[in-house]
Amino acid sequence: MSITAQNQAQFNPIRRSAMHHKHLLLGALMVERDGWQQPAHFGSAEAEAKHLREALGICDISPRTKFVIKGDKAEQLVSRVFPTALIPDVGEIIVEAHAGGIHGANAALCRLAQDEIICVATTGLATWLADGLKDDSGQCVHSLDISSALAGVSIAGPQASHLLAMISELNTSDAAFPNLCCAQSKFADIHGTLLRIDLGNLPNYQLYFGREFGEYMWDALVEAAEVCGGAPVGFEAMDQLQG
Amino acid sequence: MAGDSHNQRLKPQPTELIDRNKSLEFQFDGRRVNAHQGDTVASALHAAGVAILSRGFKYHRPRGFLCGAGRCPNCLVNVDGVPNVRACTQQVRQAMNVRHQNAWPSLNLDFLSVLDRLQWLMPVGFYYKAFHRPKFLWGLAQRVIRRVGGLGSVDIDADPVTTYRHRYHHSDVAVVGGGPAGLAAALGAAEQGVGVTLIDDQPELGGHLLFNSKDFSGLPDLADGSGPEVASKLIQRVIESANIEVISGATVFAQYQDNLLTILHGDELVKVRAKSVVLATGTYEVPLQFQNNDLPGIMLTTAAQRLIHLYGVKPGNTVVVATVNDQAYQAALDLLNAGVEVAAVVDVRPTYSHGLEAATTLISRGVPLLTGHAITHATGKKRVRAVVVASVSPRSPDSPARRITCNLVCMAGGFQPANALLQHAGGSLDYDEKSGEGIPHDLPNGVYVAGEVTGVHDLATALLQGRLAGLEAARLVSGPGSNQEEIGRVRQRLNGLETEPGIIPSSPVSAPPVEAPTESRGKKNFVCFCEDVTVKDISQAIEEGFEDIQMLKRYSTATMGPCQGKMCLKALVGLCAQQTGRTIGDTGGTTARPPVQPVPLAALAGPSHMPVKRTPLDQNHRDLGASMVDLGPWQRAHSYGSPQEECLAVRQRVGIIDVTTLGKLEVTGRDAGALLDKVYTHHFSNLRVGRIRYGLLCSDNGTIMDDGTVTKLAEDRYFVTTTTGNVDLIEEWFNWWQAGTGSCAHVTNVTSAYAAVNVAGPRARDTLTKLTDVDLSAQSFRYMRSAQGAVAGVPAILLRIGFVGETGWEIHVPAEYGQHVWETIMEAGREFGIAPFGLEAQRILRLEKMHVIVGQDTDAASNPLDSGMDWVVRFDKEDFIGREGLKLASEQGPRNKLVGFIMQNWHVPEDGVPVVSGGKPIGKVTSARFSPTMNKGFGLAWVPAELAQDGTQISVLVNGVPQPAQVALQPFYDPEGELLRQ
Repeated sequence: MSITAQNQAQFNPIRRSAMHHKHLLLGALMVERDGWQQPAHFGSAEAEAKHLREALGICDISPRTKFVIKGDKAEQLVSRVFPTALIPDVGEIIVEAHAGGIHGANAALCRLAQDEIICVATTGLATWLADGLKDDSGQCVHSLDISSALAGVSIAGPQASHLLAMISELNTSDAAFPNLCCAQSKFADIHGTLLRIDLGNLPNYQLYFGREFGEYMWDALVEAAEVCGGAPVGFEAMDQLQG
Repeated sequence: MAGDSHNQRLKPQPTELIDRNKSLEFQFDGRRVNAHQGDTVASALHAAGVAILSRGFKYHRPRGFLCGAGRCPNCLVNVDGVPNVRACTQQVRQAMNVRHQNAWPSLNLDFLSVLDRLQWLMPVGFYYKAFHRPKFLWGLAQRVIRRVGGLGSVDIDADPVTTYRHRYHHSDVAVVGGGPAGLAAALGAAEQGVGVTLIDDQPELGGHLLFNSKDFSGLPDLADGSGPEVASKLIQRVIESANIEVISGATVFAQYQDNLLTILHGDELVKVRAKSVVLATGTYEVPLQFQNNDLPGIMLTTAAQRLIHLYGVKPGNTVVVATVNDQAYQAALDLLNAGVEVAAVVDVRPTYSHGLEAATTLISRGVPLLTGHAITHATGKKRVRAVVVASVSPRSPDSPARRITCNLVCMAGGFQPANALLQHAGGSLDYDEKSGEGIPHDLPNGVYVAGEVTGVHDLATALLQGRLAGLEAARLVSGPGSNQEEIGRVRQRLNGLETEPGIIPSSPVSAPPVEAPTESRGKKNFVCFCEDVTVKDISQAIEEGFEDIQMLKRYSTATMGPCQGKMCLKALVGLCAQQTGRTIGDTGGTTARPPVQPVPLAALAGPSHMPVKRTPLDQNHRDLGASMVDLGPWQRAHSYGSPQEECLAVRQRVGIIDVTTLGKLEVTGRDAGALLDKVYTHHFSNLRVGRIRYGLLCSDNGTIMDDGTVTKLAEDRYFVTTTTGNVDLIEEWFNWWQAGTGSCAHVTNVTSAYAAVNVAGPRARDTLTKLTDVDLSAQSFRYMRSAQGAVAGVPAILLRIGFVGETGWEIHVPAEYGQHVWETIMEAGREFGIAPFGLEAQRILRLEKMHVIVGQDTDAASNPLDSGMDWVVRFDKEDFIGREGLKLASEQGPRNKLVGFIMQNWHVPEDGVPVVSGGKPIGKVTSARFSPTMNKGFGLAWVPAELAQDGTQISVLVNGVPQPAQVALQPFYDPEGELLRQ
């Protein structure tokens, strides 16, 4: 799909995540970032960073770019886009820094099945990935931008695994689900995909699920986070941790 | 009560769990009661001299402290609004409000206790026999029975007192039971480096050792000492182990497949998934049967020991201890040491075990030991005042019955293994004549047992069994070969112990029940305390033919109450065996099913995780005042005030509706068209890019599954819509037919990815032209065509289709732009009088066009030929799913047909009402509404095929009266479809 620049400029379209309204109700300061309305913080970025370090924080990461690559030759297609990356085994993740040659950009390749890989990348990489993942080889491999289909929440902090234990049977302990693991399971009774990509030494789980469940899942996570001494956090607090 | 003269508190006990420096106060039926930190409600009440804690289920007889361990129903109370709380395990909190249940007006004076004299009205199984004639009586009786019988009631108006959380927990090894065998198992497994979760239902680990003052010697790897001393050493090791996580005060109420244990722990329901499980669940002590065995002041010996050792409370002043085993002699000694006068120990056996030290001590301290005797009945009204003791077999005139005055009776009726979890897991039991207990026979893979649940009542053996079970459970986790040597050593020691004389008690700890004395008026002999089932009831049920133990249980309701047979199963089986002349082994047992212990429904429900789907436009609808309805899991706008007005807006100006909930699939790959040809009744591989075709999916037999549109976006890319509720099913259906074919087609559910709106009406083109570069003119963008372009600056798929019968476009945009696009279209359409319309208006509009909704106008037996959609079935295709079924249906011809109808008067029928002829139903209305365009009621209905002619008169039942209607085969609105093509 192409949009004429003129048309886009005329209407100034705004992207909102599925949890947008929930953020407003919690008093978030919404800021436009990468074309999305995103919560910068819910009161104090410093307090939220403390939550992240000492308990946990939940952060809306829906704007991240997400692609699914399906087919027997999925590995070959992905290798073409990420020639230096070692394609992960099923249930594992490889993180490619400076993806697309952009400093600070990254892409995580998660292999959900032998013939299914999900690529989760920095928001601005959608076009680069869409171009790179076009299959012109004649082989039966298919890629699709599912950024709009999935909402995402980052659950980070020492208590993150505790929170997940309240909403999912998936064993997310360090021993069973170490850094750079991925799995599909039920979370608060709906299907989701969980990626563990730690922020330094801080456990960090990225949970992706159907966008239509956004508000429901956000409520479930906020409720569980309160039990664990955590709270919603904005991107400023997450940025502080990511350096 | 504060300052109560009946203070039964003993001097501090070395093993007590209470903190006497911390005083608490709570209310019991409005009276203040003092307690210490660590007290249970029941221990505090007992200390305050309160004997009656509840009233019986059926006869409303006074009931008091019985088991003291959270098993029986005798102490169920309402705590802070929560009914059916067990007072003997509920710890006192400051200012808690405790109220009695099932008595009126009070526990001490319960008018409903008159039922105790009306037993003749309520014999066993009375609800099958009595109050059924005359017929009206049962309705009345049912209401009365429900009111006077039963347990506590839920205050549905009250705010939830407790909100329960759910948590999942994973463990290598789960050990259930914190007694000596459980502790040894946890230690044995933890030593092997695996993670262990130790779960115990009591507030403190240690099991019966905590209140067993007997001195133990010769224990494996442990110094000699009393029960509490041995427990203390084991507990210390558990605490020091980094691999053991302890969950105390937690009830494991079920075990499911693959070692899933469900646990209630305070306000948390924990689901533990373990690789292996050790069940060291111990045993339950059970009561004896004699007349009036339910009087307050009659309790189990272990309950009395708990009161003394754990809570420093004197159970009574003068006690008669009645027993079938040696264990009660130690209890009698404990009572004596606590200052209770022991009037007698009454042992049903001819003699106690040789060399029983406790018996010798009792004799030396002047306690009469009456072997070969049993209690025949107890007397007293609100508390036991005396018991009558008589010689058992042979009854001798030389040994007349004697009356012994007492205000406490301690019963040791033997033990019943706590094997319910083992049964949940699929284990089987065998009755062991030697121990008088059902012991585990076949263990499921990954499940191990240890301790008293295996019929062993020797501490050394239990400890070794526990260690062995722990080691074996760890081996299952670590793999074969690990710790094999240690397992061999422990097994050898265990074998040595078991062959050593005197280690296993030579006399059964659970002797079969003696013949129960018959009941006389007002003196009931209870088997089941929960359901008030007496020995007489059981006898009568057996006489009526209910000899099978499972049937006997169902008919008598014994074992079906809150204790789930913990107090009564043993007696029930014994009585059944006795009266049917079978062995206990042949009689068998009842089936244990979850939950082992009653669990609040709120705990099972947990937090309100009711998944709700919202479209990206949800907030816009709410801001516009829409009334929202649940459509499956989706929240949809039903209307924005007046559906009739919304219809007129669409017909006369322009309307917009959120259709995001439509299922959407992307089918891609070089063989995508072939896949669609296979599953749809129509052709799709020949569809040109930019074209749309209506598609109907049938099941194998030709009945309608789903419908929608198929749009070809590129040579190898199709955009498929389905009905809202069926998208997951259809995705699966496509994949199922694709799998294994070797063809290249991929199906991806993109429902969540797009927000979608339908903009329709005479001014729809005017509205949208302001927002897009796409040429929307009738010549360039024709009906059933698609385009991709920008709408309101957002990439969009535009489909020109007409579900509501007007010129219109279905616009799909990335979901995150949904609100922006909706708001921009609303703004652009303002000058044309745009109005949002909801589900109800859409239903009216589509009905005017006779557009069928699959599932609403069709059912599981409808096929496209009968439903007026034969135009979409292409028998010229070589094959498609349902072809053969439809061929057959085509040859047979339809019996019924789906037709339109219009009412001939002002009546509007409801969906689902019958079409009638001569007072008999001959068809069914599937959808009916009032049409603001025609000003009449109309709809779709199934009628016999011979009536499916334009203009045929039919009758539709409206409010029970047939009303005239006329069949219509052409759409009511724009029958030629000219407006759609404009």
